[in-house]
Amino acid sequence: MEGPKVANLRLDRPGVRAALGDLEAEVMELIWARPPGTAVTVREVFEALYGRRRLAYTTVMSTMARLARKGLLVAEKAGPAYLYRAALSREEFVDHVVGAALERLLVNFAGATRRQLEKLTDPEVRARLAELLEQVERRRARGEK
Amino acid sequence: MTHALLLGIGFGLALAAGTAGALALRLVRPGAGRAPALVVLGLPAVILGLTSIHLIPAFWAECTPLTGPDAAVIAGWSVLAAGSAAAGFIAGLRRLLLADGLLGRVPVLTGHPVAEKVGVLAGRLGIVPPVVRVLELDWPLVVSGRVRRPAVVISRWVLEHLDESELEAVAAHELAHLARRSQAVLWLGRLLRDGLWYVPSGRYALRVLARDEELAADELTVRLTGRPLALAGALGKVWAGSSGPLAAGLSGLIGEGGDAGGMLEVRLVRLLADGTDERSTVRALVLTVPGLLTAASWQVLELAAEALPLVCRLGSL
Repeated sequence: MEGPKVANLRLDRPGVRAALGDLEAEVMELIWARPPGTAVTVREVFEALYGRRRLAYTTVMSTMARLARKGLLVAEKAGPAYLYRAALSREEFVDHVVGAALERLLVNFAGATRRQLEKLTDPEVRARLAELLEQVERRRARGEK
Repeated sequence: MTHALLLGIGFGLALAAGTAGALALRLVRPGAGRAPALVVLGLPAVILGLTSIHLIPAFWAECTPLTGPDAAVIAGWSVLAAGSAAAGFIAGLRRLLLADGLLGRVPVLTGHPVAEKVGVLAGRLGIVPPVVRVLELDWPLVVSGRVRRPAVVISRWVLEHLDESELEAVAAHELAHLARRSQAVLWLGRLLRDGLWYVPSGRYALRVLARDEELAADELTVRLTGRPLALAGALGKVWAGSSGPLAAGLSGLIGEGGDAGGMLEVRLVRLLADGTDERSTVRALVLTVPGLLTAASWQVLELAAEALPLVCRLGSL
């Protein structure tokens, strides 16, 4: 699973603004407020936001492109324009951010192992690990603790 | 350049002691490296502290006023040392507050057998039972910590994929971290590494410290549950279930260095061999060598403090 990218966290800010910039948060809140899976265009988001903030169309467009690069939005080409939909729900996003931050900040069971696995490219090491894990399974199947 | 020279001697001693300690750390049995790693992390701080507190005021008394390159070097050193220490402390405090704030936001797990198991195991370890919290994540996550009220956070993936004995082993592993105060130890280690970022041995010593906290927690888990293979099985499932969501994660958050290489293999091999190793006498050696180096550094600095005011006076003739 490729999660969303969050560069920094500010817990003094409310809600998803702890992990996103003001405009990014507004765009995401607007998309999350629609039924799950709904696709939107930049124009729709721009018009919805324009009543509250006098933003340039290009500002909204670049913000949505940035959110797509961060993995919060999924972009798909539809004719001349792009359609954007949320890559994950608001709750999933918050849990993901909190979980990823905690794994980095605290002592944890799996983190070191998982970070190592990301670097595992050597087939010999992989084979050795697979053999060890098979050994674990065999011995557990025999009733060993 | 008398002042700068002595400061250079102190700095050289700190680097040499750190490097010697880091080399000696390679001899320590995996899992027994906490105290030696902390010594290696703290030793340069002690030597530089001696240099800064003990030696420099003696110069000032004998050779005031500081002029030219000496004044620049002492002022530069003071800014670097104090600035680095302050920045390291602020970064450490930020980490602590961030972790505490995030843990408080995670919902408490109730009515699940693992929550009861944690209470039982905590009683056997003689620690206050932590709050068990759950995150709705589809990847493996188990962490523990918190300053005010200890907590263990488990992801939904872990609850759904691990069997009863594996969950018990994972819970015991986290409790072992809480009992050993791993969070505080690693916090101190990071503080020393960040405050003395210009001493290269600190980065290696911190990796050893982080690795050995995991291995020592594994050992305590096996003693607590008597089930090394259950812990190995849990590691195997994490291995199988991982696809690296943190590859795109919060890399800028705390700037932690990578983990010690071969961690999974080391842990599995140890667990397949009943989870413990025999004690080694190398640890005592590693604790002794840096101690002797510190004492020797003190003597060198004492001698320098006595000799260099004389040099200072001779230079002014």
